[in-house]
Amino acid sequence: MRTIIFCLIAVLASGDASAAEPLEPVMQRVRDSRLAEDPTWLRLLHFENGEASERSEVLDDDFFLAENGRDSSYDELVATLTALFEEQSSDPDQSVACRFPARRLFLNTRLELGLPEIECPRLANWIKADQLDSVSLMMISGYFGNPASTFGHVLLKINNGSVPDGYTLLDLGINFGAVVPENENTLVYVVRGLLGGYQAGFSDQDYYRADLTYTRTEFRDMWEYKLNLSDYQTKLLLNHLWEITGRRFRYFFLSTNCAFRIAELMQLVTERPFVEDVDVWYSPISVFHRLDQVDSSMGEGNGLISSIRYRPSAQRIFLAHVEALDADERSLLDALIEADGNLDLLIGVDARRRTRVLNVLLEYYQYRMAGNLDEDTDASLREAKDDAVRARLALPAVAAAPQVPIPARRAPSSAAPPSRLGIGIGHSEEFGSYSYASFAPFSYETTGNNLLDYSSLIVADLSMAHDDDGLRLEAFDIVRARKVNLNITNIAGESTSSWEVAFGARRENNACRDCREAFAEGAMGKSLRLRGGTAVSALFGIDLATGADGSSAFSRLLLNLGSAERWGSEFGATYRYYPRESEDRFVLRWSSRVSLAHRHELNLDVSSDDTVQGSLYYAYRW
Amino acid sequence: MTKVRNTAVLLSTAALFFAGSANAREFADIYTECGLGAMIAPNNAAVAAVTNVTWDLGTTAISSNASSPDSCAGGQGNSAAFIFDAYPSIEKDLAVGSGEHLTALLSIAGVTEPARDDVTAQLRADFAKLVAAESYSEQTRFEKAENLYNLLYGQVG
Repeated sequence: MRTIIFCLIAVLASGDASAAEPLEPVMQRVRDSRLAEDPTWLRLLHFENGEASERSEVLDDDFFLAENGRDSSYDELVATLTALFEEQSSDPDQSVACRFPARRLFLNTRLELGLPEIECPRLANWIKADQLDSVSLMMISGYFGNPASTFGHVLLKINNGSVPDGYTLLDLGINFGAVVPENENTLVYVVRGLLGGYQAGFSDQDYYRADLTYTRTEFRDMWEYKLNLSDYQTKLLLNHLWEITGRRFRYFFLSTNCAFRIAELMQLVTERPFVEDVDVWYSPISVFHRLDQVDSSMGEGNGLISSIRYRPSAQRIFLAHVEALDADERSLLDALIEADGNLDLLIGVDARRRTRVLNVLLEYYQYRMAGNLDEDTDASLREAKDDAVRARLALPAVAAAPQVPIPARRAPSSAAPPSRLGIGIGHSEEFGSYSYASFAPFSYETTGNNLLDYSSLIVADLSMAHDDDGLRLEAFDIVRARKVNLNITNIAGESTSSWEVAFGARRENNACRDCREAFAEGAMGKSLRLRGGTAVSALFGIDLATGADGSSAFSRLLLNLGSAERWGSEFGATYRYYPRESEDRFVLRWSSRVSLAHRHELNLDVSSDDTVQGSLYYAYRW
Repeated sequence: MTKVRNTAVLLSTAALFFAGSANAREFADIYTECGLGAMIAPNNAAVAAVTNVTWDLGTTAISSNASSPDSCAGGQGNSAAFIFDAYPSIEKDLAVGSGEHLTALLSIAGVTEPARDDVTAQLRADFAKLVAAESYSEQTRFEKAENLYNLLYGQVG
């Protein structure tokens, strides 16, 4: 044992052993090759925009070995090399070599230094190289319950190959998030998030925690993009995660958010343009559009994406299991739920059927009680659940969960990218022909090629028209969101409401030119899925407006059709009741979109609001 | 083969239920030292408000591969955390007799593949006794998790 330790120390101390190059010639090569300006070196140090003229975005001082390492990638490089060659540390885990293994790997490889293999016990325990299978990017769908989650989330997952069936609960999840005080006021949270008021960083956790939060509490769908990385790329990524986990960055919700930081890591290891030419806003879905682009550019069979797998939320799985029951079992389930857990209804039912129904009933209770500690749930619900657990325990175990097919949902990167620029023409019954333009940095329309299933989420959508009389505002939706709830499985206690909100500015009606008004509207109602994928919704709401007609109450009927991927159409009829005016109004609207290609669309918007007008325009998406 | 398998089952079960008693850590100690329960917010709203944020920057996170070589990493620390956080899912899987969380629990506890069916059957039978207790519905998450943890590590709670 002592011999081994001696050898280990000898190896660590042998910075200038004959196996490795002496330092000065290496420094000369560094200067000659301008290695300090190498994109990978700059990204390892997290220099802003990957430029040597900027400074590092890492806030922690001990991330840097040189005194001005934050500002000088060259000085940091010199300090790192010096430490790697000359350091003598009795504790390997505290050595520079083991604290900055990615820098060591990169420099050793790029400069062909011939540095000896070393043991870093804590790092080795963290990486568990013998169990490592692959790395995945997780796209987590948006969640309307929280402003920061509305646009989705991205995680990295380090896949452990040693568990059976390759399932994921014991994989390692890497999350980038802001550190927010508990119970922060929502408005403060939004403002601070937008203006850089928080610090953020990478943290690691067992993946089951992410599963618990996203799949089982917030009921978000996920897509797992397994990556095709080389051994070197995987090693560089994991070693760098070791260097960077726990380090602090400044957090800006729009620009340097989870999506951006993870995309930066992707650019670091693949040297592909994940964070080049970034607009103001880097949304999570953008990581996957870029991943798709990079994958396509690498040619058939050589791509970066190894596989894409849809991981449905616990809610979808539960509803699919309910749908899989036969009619009698379904009636029994509904009756048990209605009876608050009175299991007498199971008396006389055969064991097989009882097993199936109890399995789904247990899932129902889990679904109802999601996210809460046992002691915080309703007592009668909890007791009903415990009775069901006891009843199920009295029956034999099932060897494996029955496979119920969950309808697959296509990958989010197959949807059209969220930013939209439209150019076209139109004709107004009142004013004649006009040219038309619109722009939205984030737009998932109800008629759009997206996965929102007739729901919508649109931010800062501006549309303008121009004719002989000049420029006019058509509409400026600051936010427009609609949640169409197509819960086809009517489980007792399940919410079935649809809702809609919008606010911004618009023309009061189609017959006036300079009649802009600010507005805010909200509505609630119900939706139904009809045969052939059509959906119909009926909503009732209030519209507050600053224009001449003023505020109104309205009822709105909507018909949505289309496959989403190829085309989408919406017919809307809105009846407005004005308390201040005697004349009520009836507004009709028809929108249609056809996808010409992934990023190219043709749109038609026709409305009858006092007079009729229609716009036909081409939209480019990115 | 049957003899080998039976021996493996016996040894695994013995390891599971007896080896722990020599140096098994109390669930309560792990709960306190490793900050369990930090992930479970008191109500849905709090969880919803912070799920795109991080509780800390890895200094107290318990990943299976956590950097700390002792206390909260590996084996019992992970089992305790997993049982506490994922208790409803584990409870459901035990009731049904199979599921991702049950399999994950056995993996964390080091029960190897040949022994899993038998360990599951035994665990399920013992768990039924825990659930049969009249007080079960009134127990807190901590109490339930502690009981299951002790069941798993063979200590009398």
